[in-house]
Amino acid sequence: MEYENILGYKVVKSSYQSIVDVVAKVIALNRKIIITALNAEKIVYSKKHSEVLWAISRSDIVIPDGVGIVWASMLSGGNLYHRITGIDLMDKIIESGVRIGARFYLMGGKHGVAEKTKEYFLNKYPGTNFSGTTNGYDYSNEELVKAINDSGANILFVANSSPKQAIWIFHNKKLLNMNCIMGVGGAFDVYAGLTKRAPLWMRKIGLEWLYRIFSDPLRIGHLFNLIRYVGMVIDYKLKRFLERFSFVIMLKDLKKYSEYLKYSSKVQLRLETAGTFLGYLWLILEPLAFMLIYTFVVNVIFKTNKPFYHLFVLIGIIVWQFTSKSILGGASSISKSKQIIDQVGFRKFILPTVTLLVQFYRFLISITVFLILTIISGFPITWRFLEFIPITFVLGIFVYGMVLICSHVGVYLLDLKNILDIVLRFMFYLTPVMWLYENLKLSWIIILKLNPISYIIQSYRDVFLYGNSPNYIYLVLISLFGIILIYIGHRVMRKRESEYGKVL
Amino acid sequence: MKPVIELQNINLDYNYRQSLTVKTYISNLLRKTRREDDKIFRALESVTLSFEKGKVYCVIGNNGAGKSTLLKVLAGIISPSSGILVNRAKSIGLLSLGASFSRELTGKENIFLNGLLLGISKKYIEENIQKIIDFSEINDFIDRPVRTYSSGMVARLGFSIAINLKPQVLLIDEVLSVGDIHFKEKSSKALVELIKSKNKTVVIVSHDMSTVVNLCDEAIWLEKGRVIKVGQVQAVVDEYIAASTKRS
Repeated sequence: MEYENILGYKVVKSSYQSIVDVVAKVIALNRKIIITALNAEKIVYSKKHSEVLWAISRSDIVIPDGVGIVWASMLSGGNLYHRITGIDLMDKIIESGVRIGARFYLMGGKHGVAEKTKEYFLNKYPGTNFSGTTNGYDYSNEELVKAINDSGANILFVANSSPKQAIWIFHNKKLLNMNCIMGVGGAFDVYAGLTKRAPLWMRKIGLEWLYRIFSDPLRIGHLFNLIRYVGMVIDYKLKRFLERFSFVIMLKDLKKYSEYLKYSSKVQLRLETAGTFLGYLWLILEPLAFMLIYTFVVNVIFKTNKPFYHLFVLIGIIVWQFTSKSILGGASSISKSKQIIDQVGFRKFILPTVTLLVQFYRFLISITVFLILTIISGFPITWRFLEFIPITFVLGIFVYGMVLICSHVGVYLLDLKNILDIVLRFMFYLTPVMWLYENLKLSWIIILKLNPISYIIQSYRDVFLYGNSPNYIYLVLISLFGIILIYIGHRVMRKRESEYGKVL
Repeated sequence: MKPVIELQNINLDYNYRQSLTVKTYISNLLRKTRREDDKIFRALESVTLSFEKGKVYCVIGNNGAGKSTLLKVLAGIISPSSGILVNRAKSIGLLSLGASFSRELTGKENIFLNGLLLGISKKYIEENIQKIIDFSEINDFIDRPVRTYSSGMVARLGFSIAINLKPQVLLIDEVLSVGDIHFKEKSSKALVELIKSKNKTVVIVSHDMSTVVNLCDEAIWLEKGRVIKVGQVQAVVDEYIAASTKRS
């Protein structure tokens, strides 16, 4: 049988006939099933009383009795188009009663109602085997269970008010030697002729509940339950809906783990230089050493004497190091943390975020060194320098997006690190870290400018060395691209992170 | 008072998906039929449970019944394939044999990282860190990398963190017997104290029926991923023992 998940309940999605077939099979095999009719009210009750929740969850077959269930399904994009009402299912089961070897017991209702229901069905389906009826009030619970068991029945219909009947069935199902137990609520009253069902056209458009409230004004209290149900469905849907805007969730998570992020990145930064003789000094020495090498190669070996080439190349190195180290580190950030993933439940995007933060600290240290060198070299300090803040922001967004995506792929594709090594090396030569565009053909310049990092390096040089303003339109475009990457990366990780532990 | 954690109709499927290298990926593509190991294994089936504040639960059942998987679901380490999990606890700690330490970092740093990841505030950890160090009896080693620790020290530190940081829900997976006799006594004493304080929820997985009966209020009996019985601990344990002796 097919199921659909409605607000956390497994509701069957099939025809009356197939349920009757199941009942027949259960009788033939002498097993036991509980059938529960689910409607809006029961769901409301189940939130208040955990017993009702249990009673429904522990049923073998939950049928969509109320139109509210169908609506909830429609809202979730499900395809549960038709109700399967308890009252109609009861009729269908009794109709096939002789064929499937069922002996029925009717319990509940006011005095004599069960008896009248039995007469109604004997009229409709002559030959049906009824083992007994009771209103259920005249006995203690033990006597009641004994009477039902002794009658030799194998199918029990219980018609009490909701949620009393569901709880009763739940508590007594072990004691009852039945093959099938089903709560049918007000069905006896209808079959005994005490109340009328809504006209067929009303049932068809799903307004039976309205009819019932009008025909019995005492049921007005039920209306409040229906309103609460609508509220619950909206609440449930709203939460699912908001989850699509994963940025809201992402910011919340970042806030929740902010202390961890701070502490972890600090510790990781220490770890990167731990055990070395010069320690933290390496954070400064590394970019400086690269600067000297490139300057030596270009200015001394190739003898192209460019003024301030060392600053020109240093800013390129700093940006490139930040980008490539973040991406490489991000690619292995999750796959190397299997131990933590197996032990603690947390949002996994925290791990690549730590990687990015570590590299970002290093980046800030390097930029400070660069600034000092720039000032020493005699460049005037202007307000223009402050424009490096938006540029850095754009760079951060773009790299973060790349890091998130690489960290996710890195879980599944073990080769990613090797591939990235090669790709990043290639990108390094395509990025103007050591050279300028000026000697190239225009068509090449356009292609190479599609690389966001090259534009960001250019912007830093504009601001610090040339005293120009960067092209903000282009920066906005890059950050938009970065935001899309972050969005995709975060969403994919949220969806798949629960299987990381199983994959690694 | 609403339950701290509620599980409603939880199913958990494992599919044996593995990390791929490009080589295996291509060879999988070339093979037209799906491989055997794509099969799905259902580790938990229609599990509906609720856990209340101040109660101690134990999970019993044979090997492979899904006990550890259930703890991992409660801890949020793996999320269920279907069903609803309501978690009202701010912090949930799982204590099991392989502790989640970074080997290169010092014990102290690991304490902070562990606690912060569980959602415990830095301030609270700072206030309690001395207690954790004293309890674990690691002393000077606390400032050395964890890779220099013996396995007993790692286990002691793990237990000490879990018991002293007092997460709202504490899940314990078969580690009631950590370390030497002296530490064992100390840890069970601390555990009983935590249980007696009545404002934490504890879930214990154990095969040791006598400890289970002594410590717990309620027992959950799992069999092949399904809940067979939930209820007062003595009754469930008796029934479980009867069932397993009958089988053997």
